[in-house]
Amino acid sequence: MNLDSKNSISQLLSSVREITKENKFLDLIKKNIIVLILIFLLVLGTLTSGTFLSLYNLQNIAINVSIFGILAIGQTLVLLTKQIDLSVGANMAFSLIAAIKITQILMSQFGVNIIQEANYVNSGMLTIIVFTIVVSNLIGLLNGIITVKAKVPPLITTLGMLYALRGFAYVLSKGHPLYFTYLQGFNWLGTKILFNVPVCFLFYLVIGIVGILILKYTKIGTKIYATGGNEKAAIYSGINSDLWRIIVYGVSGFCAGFATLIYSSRLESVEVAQATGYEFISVAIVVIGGTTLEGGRGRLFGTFLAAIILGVVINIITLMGLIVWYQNIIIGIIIISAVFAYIKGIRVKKRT
Amino acid sequence: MRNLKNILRSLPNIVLSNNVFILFIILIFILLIGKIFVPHIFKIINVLNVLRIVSIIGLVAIGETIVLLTGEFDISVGSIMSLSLVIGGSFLGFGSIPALLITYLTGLTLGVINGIAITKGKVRSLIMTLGTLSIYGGLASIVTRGKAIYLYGLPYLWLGRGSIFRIPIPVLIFFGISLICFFFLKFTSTGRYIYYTGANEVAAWYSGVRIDNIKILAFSLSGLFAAMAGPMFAGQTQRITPIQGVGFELSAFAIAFLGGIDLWGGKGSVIGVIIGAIIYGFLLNILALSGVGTYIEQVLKGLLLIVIVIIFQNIIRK
Amino acid sequence: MNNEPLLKLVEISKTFPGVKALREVDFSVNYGEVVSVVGQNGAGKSTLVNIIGGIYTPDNGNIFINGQKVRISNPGIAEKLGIGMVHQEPTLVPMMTVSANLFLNKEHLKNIFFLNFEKMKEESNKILDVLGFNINPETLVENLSLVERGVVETAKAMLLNPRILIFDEVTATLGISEVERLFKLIQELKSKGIAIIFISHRLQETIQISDRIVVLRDGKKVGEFNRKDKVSLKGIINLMIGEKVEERKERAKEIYIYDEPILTVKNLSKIGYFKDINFNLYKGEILGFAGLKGAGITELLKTLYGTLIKDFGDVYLKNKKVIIQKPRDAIKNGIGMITNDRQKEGLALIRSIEENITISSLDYLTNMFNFLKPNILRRSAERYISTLDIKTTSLKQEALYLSGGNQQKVVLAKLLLRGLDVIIVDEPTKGIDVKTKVVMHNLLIELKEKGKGIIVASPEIPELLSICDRILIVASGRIVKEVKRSTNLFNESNILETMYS
Repeated sequence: MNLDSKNSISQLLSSVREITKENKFLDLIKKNIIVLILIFLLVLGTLTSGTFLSLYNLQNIAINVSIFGILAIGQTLVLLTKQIDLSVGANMAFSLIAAIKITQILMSQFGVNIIQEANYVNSGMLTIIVFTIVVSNLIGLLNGIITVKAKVPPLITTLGMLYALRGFAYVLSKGHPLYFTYLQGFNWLGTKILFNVPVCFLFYLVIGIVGILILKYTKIGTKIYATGGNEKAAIYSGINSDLWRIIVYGVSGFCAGFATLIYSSRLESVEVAQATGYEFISVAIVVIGGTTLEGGRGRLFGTFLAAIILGVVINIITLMGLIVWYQNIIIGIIIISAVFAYIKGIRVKKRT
Repeated sequence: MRNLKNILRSLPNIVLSNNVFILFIILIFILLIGKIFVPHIFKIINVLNVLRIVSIIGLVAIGETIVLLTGEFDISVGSIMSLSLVIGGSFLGFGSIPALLITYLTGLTLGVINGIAITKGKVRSLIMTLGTLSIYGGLASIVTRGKAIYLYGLPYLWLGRGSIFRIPIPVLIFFGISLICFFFLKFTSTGRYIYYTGANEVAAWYSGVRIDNIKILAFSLSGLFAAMAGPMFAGQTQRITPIQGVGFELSAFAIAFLGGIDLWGGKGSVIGVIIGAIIYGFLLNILALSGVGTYIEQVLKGLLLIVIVIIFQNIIRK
Repeated sequence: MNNEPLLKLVEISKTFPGVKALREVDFSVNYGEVVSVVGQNGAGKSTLVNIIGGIYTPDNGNIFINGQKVRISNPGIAEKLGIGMVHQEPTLVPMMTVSANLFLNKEHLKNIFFLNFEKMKEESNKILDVLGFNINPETLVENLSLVERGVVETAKAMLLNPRILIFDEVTATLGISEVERLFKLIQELKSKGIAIIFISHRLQETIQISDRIVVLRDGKKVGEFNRKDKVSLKGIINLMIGEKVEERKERAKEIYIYDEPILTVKNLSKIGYFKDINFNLYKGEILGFAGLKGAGITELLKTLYGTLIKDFGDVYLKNKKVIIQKPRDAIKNGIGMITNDRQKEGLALIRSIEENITISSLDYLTNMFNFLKPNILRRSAERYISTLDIKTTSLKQEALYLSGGNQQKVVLAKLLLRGLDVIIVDEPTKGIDVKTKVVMHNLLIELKEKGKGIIVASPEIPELLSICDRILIVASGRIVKEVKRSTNLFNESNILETMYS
């Protein structure tokens, strides 16, 4: 009697294994689906407007993609550790404004006034850039420390930070936008084209590739995946999960700093309300790209492609003449559908 | 009648229970500090104004409280306020009353949608309401094509700026609804189910509680109350804009946590939230009156939320 | 090799709140020796090995490795001392591959920075081969069966090149051929000089492979057998249960009404857990379920209550077929359950005792407008606080502050208030002190005398013997034997033998 049931159970298990091997096949299709979607969108774009495939338009797309793509890279790491960062958009605005303020104060010690006509920044570019990255990093780390050490849920920490940072940005800038038109060379990052490819997109490629390499091929990557996948297993294996949870927030902060440099370099200005809503876009991109919210599962490459897809989608919407708010709706729908799709997938797996 | 007596008899218990008592102390403390920095804080005009604003964000906070008590989060309340205001606003041609009714109905519906998606679809409430925040907000902008609607109709303005016997309408509505919620939560079976579900969802399920229905109810009320707060706000500012509700979720959370609602659900009292709202309102009032810019306010609001959570959750957890 | 054993534990004691898990236990293991630790549930086996593995620290006593005193304060130190442990429940990252899990935080590198996947895959294959399992190192752990995960967990421990390898009840879900393979592996490790500490319920096989068997009972070491002692299964079992099996025979009168069963279960099956379960529960009867962990009893009970869904079969209440798909259905049909995890499934700890007692009966206690009458709620709760003797300062106290026994009483009160006909109890006295255990048993007997039908499942056979009218023995998901109180087969030895064979 014992033998019977054990045999039937192992029979069941082997048929289960066969089904899950099939799932691998489905995974392959899923990987290719993203590419298929991309191709579909390109076709759609061409049909929509004659200018879609023009160099200028494609470069536009590339520049936009690089901005939120870089944000999404940081967000991916955060989501992989089962956390979330809703403060990235606000971080973008704040870090640059704060950097300008700091530079202004520093330079005034030397009797140099970097701001003319109340709104135009005319020097101190290097310092501003450096401080932007520094500040955005620190904000990221602060998010991490509050979440991990004070055990505040990531939602609350980053939501509160979102409002706090926007507010601070307003206070520092007194609500006025700041312009970089007189700052020589500042617009290089956002507008320079090299061999027909925007420089910022090249940076995106580089950051993306470095990110993929680190996540997939180094111990750092396994530590992050393990921390998000099963924190207990990670701790048992000697991984300092607290540390890595904080580090990913730092990286997200760094990405925000970099993204805002591209953004403001391109528009040659910075203002308090810039990048509003970018946090949602970054979450949407990460979710579409296949990273799930349960932690430990997802590929940067997926995020990478998803950013391009979203960039193309937004471009097509703009070319169609649809208004900006549709973007929000689409983003919301995308987040929810991607989550639903993932949950359906998990349900199938769990049943077997 | 005997029931009423029993209920009244248990009131002192509630007031004297630790949390609420502490909140009273904090409120008095804040008022004293306010008196020092802002001498005219107790002038009737100011107090009424503060209470007026408190009532509006407080109402949203009550709705959020019910969701929090079941152990979930609703960060779409701001967008629900915007969208329901805007949809109601497009019916102004039929009269203000129909418009108001449509507003409330829309809010209720949006809340129900949230609830059903979260319970049946098994999506985490955090993500679901993050999504609906975007969707509802975007829809609001589309419906008005980004423009604002200027209000001259009586009911809205009355809701926002009117008073009865010098008591502002919003205050009446807020206190009325809060008290109803208080009794509802404390003395009905559904109220108990809400607390139990938040305290331990699994045990509630094992005990036969219909946790899905309870959660849907909670989200519906959250949407409804957000929609009810909208017209009062619109009446004050005399217009309906598609981004009217932005930032309300932050204040709602802050007030709820300040009022002693447990982050993980299952614990906390509406009385605490009422006092929390008053404290929050006066805090903002003091900041505003002492010449601190509105944006510093915003900064502090954000920081306040974090600080409140850290402090109160650690105290409660003890 | 000097005279000191590889590992020696001297007078180790460990107390958890309310329970003395280990009392001055001496234990030792030598190179190349296989020592098994046997005992009933709660005897202290897991606690002992968890102390060796660094998960717990002893309250008293000393540990020596090769004669040198050591302090094993965390798993990391245990690892450094060459102690590897294969846990009962695998701790692996589900979305990562087998290979990645095996080398978690100990990865092979090439060129300083980059992971050397090929080398890790190679070594994974090697170690999996040694274990005799054909698992592809590139599969994700979440796609592995429970057995395979156990294998990976074992491989992970072995990769540390331990001197001492502990197996904590890993055989619970293994089939015969897999157990054979495990034992072959153990022989190989033994021949390499590795010391093995083995915990298992399969006494027959344990006798086969062990060099020494240590018997624990109630936290004390009560016996030790060497291979040459030619010990018998019966001998070990007797030692495991000790003398007290005779104590609790006295019990109340046997009242049951045989004519109509209150609950009938026909052909109930759930794939992978239990099959073809058939039995009746009569009014005024306490029906016991005995079996090893993994036999499927808890799953069966949960299916009756609606927290798991059956695949086949029917359940009848008072001869009427009922469909139970969630606890609410069960309660509506008069079935209540106290699960084996009262803190997670039975109580809302931060709510008051009164709320916990009344939660399932609220729809009966409201007036017209859904309003609750505080008086009635209070009185209902008070009634049960006194009849069940729940020790508390006030009914408004949070359930959190009660002792385990009193918490269990609150869960029982919840069911009783609702007036249910069938009560299912899984591990009624888990984590409860001895005095309250008796109280609990008396309560169940009182309920039986009032005509309720009670199902009790417990890993403690004496408990079942003292209160049940009948006991069904379950093994591998099927009912293998029924033992009636009136017969002379109604004793511990017999039941244990059936369970363990």
